[in-house]
Amino acid sequence: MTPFDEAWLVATIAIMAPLLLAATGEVVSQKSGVLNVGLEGFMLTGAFFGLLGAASLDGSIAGGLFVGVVAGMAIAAIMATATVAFQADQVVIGVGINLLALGVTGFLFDEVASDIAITQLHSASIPFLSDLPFVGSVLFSQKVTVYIVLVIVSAVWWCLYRTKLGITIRGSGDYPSAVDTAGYNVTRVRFFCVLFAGAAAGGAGAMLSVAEVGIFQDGMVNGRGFLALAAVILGRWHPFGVLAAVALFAGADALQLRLQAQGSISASVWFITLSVGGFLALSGIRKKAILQAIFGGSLFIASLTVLLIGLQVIVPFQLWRALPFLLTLIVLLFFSSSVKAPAYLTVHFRRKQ
Amino acid sequence: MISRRHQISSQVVSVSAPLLIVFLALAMGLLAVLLAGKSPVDAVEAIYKGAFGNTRSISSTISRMVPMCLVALGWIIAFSTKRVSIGFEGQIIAGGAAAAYVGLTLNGLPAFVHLPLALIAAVLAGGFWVALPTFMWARRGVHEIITTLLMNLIALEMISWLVRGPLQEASGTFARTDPISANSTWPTIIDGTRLHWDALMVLVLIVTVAYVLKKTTFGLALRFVGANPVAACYQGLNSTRISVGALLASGGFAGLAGSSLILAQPTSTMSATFSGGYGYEGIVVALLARNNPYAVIPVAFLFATLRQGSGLLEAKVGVSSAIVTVIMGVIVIGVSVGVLLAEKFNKQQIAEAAK
Repeated sequence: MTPFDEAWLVATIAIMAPLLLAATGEVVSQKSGVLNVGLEGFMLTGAFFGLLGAASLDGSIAGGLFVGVVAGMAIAAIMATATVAFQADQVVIGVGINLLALGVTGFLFDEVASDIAITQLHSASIPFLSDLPFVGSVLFSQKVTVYIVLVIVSAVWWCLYRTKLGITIRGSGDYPSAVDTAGYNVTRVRFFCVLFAGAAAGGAGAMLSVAEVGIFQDGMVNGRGFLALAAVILGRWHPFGVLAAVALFAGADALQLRLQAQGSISASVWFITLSVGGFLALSGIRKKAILQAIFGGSLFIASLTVLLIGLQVIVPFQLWRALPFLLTLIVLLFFSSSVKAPAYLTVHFRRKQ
Repeated sequence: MISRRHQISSQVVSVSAPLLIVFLALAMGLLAVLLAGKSPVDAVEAIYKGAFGNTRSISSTISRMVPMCLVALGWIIAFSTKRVSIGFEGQIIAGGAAAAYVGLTLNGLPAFVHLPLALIAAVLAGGFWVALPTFMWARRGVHEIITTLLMNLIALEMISWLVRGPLQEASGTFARTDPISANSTWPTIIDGTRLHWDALMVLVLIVTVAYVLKKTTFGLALRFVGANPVAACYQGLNSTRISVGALLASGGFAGLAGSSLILAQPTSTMSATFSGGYGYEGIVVALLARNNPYAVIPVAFLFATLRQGSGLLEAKVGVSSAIVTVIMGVIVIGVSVGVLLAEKFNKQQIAEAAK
């Protein structure tokens, strides 16, 4: 039985959506030169206040998502004020933002909101298109939020690479003094880009709580903010690169959910590790990257052995849960050399007097 | 010419700014308690009683300082070369798990061999857990923030597997290990308390780190690399190698912190949640101590008091202990900004004096 079926793709896209939204917001912020280590905190804030908002608006999903966006912007405003306006260290403030968000949501959850639950969003089938075989259920029977996220990603790409505003934003991260000379206010550009990242991450968090489960739990964001940060690097600071990176993570995550249920690993998974290992080994040999060649080679040989002997491998579920993180590390390890961050990422801009 | 009076007044400003922020953050916490409909007086009393009510709680408060100080030292060492590792939580887990493994397996060894072995294992495991991010930074230019974070998330899954899999107690009832051999645990300083001899080790390490950073050529090299890696290279220092050493050492300190959470505890078993957020709290401690090894002690004391007291706060007054996390977050953000403002203020004062 192969786990790579229709249900896997449906789950992959559903898992992708909030991750993609948060990562896209972060692309804009990092393009302008601000790294948000507090992305996890933004999402957590959005998740909590989004649900609180939805519950106090008679279970309105749209209202909840809106409140989540606003809450994300509010905590991002703290980040932006501290790092962009006052020029404090971005990483340190990011750590503080995460603590603050964890504390505030945990405190309010315990004190006022521990029993809030709403009816989550149902999937929306697009007429006619959803009747198509396979594609219909995978692409056109998702929740409305998924379509909104895809529109936002395209809009962000268009804005960053096809408009003057996009040039200004990218310039703020790559060559801020040029942007300054052109008469734009780098501080203001960065401030609003951080707010945008907050809005996106807040909305993403609200998608988790309001649209997907209808409740809030401590730690429900569960590393997704950090994963989104990894996706930004992996996607080379480009909205569509990020889309691909997020698809990889979400695919792995959906796979682990299904493999957990199945117990032992099916042959199709081993075929994938076999081909990935072979690819890594060959490209490693060609690039004379010894480490990569060894890693890919051993993966190839291990998968081949398992396939040939027909071994039933049972892996603890924790390994599956760690899979997206391991995958990120491996990809960063082998494919990071060609990736260039915005030149002035985490560097403060001071106008010359 | 800047007068002595201005020097003193600028020192007063730089010291009092963080203190003021801490005071404001605590006041804000009490305000939150008030808004939640509980009495702030009761809250203060509960925290005081929880942290200093009897010998046991006092010794618990002090023993909470141990991992905080060790992680803070790790941060200070890495940050002296301007490397920003936030992977201490994972390194604590790796170190604690290694210490627990040595404590569980090598039975029959005398204490003076067994305990040091467990500590060495913990230090090595902590260093091992930061080795991949360090390698990726040094050779691939991948920033250590993201990789150390990923290693944290992986460590959480690893420990969850260890205590339900290979290291689970023999009866298999709970997700924890069997009690660790008494020969590998720290003896208590005073019988019947939770104060173990590892507290003394921390004191020695604080003095050592402070001495090495301030008074030795190696410490100077670390700070030189942190201030300007390119210039350091021109001085014949291998900046990358020194930063790698600092990162690995910081992992060792976090691993040691993990060992104390296993080998100096009343229960002497390992559960999946033993790291308890110390990896992040230690960073906060170091930041508030402004990367001064000695200042780590009073700051860790403050946070250990809040954490220890928050247990009783939740039980007696019914206020969520998450309030302590809020206060810490406010302190991190407030102090970072406050210190910058204080520096700006001082510069202005000096500029005016120079006129």
